[in-house]
Amino acid sequence: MAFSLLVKHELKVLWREPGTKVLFAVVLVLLLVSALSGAAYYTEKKQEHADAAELARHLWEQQGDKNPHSAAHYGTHAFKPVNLLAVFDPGTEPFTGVSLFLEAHRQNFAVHSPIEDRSSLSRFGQLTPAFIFTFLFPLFIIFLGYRSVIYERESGMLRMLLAQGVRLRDILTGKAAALWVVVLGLFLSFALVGLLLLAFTGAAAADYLRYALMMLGWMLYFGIFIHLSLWVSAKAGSQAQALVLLLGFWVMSTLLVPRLVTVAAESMHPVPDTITFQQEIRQHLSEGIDGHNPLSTHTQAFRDSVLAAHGTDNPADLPFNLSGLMLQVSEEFEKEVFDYHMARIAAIHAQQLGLFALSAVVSPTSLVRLFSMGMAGTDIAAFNHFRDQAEAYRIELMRELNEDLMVHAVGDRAQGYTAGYELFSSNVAFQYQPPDALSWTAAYFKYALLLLLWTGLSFGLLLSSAKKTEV
Amino acid sequence: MLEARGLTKMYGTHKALEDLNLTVKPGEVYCLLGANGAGKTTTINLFLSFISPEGGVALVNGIEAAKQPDEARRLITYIPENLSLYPSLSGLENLQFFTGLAGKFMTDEQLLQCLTEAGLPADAAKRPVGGYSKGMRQKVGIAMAIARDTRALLLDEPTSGLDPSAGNEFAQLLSEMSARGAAILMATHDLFRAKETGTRIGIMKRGRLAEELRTEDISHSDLESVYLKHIRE
Repeated sequence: MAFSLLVKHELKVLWREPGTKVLFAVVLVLLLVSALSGAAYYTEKKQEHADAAELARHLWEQQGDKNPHSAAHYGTHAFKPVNLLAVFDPGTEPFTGVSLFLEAHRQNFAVHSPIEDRSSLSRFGQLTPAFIFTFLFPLFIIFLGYRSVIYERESGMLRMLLAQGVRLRDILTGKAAALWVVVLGLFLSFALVGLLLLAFTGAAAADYLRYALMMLGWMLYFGIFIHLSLWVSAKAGSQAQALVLLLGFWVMSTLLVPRLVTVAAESMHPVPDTITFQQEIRQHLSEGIDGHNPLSTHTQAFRDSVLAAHGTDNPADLPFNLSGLMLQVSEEFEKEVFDYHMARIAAIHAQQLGLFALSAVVSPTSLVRLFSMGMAGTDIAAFNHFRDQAEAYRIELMRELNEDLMVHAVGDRAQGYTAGYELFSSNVAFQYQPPDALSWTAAYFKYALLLLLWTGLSFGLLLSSAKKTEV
Repeated sequence: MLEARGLTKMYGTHKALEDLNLTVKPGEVYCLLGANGAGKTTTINLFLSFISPEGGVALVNGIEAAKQPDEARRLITYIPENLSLYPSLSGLENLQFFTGLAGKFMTDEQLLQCLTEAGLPADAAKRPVGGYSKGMRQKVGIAMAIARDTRALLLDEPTSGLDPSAGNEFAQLLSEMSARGAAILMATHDLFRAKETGTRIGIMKRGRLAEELRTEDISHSDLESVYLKHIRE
């Protein structure tokens, strides 16, 4: 009974403090603005994506009559679908790019990242819900909680409370519960708006699951700040000391540690620069068959082996087009080379990410960022998932084109062979298939557990301060 | 109701209280007099279990405060020199909260009645405490004791800083409380009020109870002489 009375009382006192309503209103307005601007951005980008994908398909089908390998060089684009959950946490999407140019012989990097269209100031952070949750919510909690216990100790109120026969443990947990109610009241109002957004934009069931988990992750993150704010307030010698300590932790957790660890990760596990990377790929490619260079030793050796296998020295006697076969074999070799070098980059990224994840020991912000981006499908892993599918599509498209050349450009049709609308429209359009929600979210389970551990430990710290016997 | 047996408290090497023995029976007002640092507040803090004794026991209705602090505190109403109340809440809301914590749930009318009995007008009771004078806040404290039908009242210099009229009013309220059967232990510097309100007086000196007197056996001037003799020694 005393506990519920304490919670109600805390809420009443918090609500009557002049700054609380202003703070509450500011955060609520920011959240709504971020959600509405995010939704508008999503609608606009979704349309742009649909238009661009339609145009790319139209250009592919209507490219006119040409040699299939010319069409392979003409290329097409794969567009990363606009992710609804990116409205809540855009993660690395503004930096990773939104489309891949698919062409013969090479894997390209993504281009047209949204950040290119913005001023350099936007790199300091856009007003997204994730930005507000990461930086502003903890500040909101700190300002509500830092004086909660120390003020009552300094004013003698704590002695009055204890003198009623209430346990210090109940007082502290009552304060924590009241802060939880305030924070969740604000947060869940926003989460409800988000849920409506999902419903009105026709989100898939997987999106709901990932959205719910994302929101749960943020709640645990807020819990850490709630418990730590009250713990520091209970242990500090003065209100000023409590505020300085908590703001110091906020700066360390949200700004310093993530930035320092990123710099350290890039320095310890550097990604090769573009020129070096391309030189290495070029060197590696020279060790295999080149479909465009008949003078290369590897190409000649392959050509001779195919002719020998068919008992002839004249390619015109073959029942298929030799150039088509060589281009396909060359494509398969090039894929191996690119896969190998892309895997090297992915391994370096994984090492950098591993180091970043380690910073979760001192920064719950690093942890919640990893979890939230994972649930939103806006982290590097999500981008790699798209890139792998686009690459698989590219390889299949090239195979279809080379096969057409092999099969049809034979005999008297070999010279000046062209394919047209019939072939290009038969090539299946690229459709990104998002990963299975359950197996995808399972990969982020460790971050959820660590967040839970942080929340539990911070609550343990708060309870430990209730053991103080003298006031 | 309130009993100290061999109560001893150390702050480091400093002995703040040494072998204190006293008893306050229901209906009694026991006034602790003494200079600053004599051990008056320490005694009250030990009954409230805000601090732990190095020796002896503080008993509230037979309950050892150090071992069962919550149980002991539920029998006590504590009014310090500056009664801390929530400034954004009204006197009525403060009273409702504190009595609720002590397990007493009353209607607004009943609580207003307690505040009126304590001398706080109904219109003031509904205003935020931030605008209260010290005397008005002390009246909320007395209202707490009335509402809780308290068995023991611990007062730590409650009239310090009150004007003579408010001090007199407060003393009358204490007399009413003792008439209801409450055991009252009051630390004070106010010799006049101690003689007027108290039934017994204990003079404390360097953590020890130097002398115990019955107020009916001593005049104002004699009390002052005895007190000054102890202080100057």
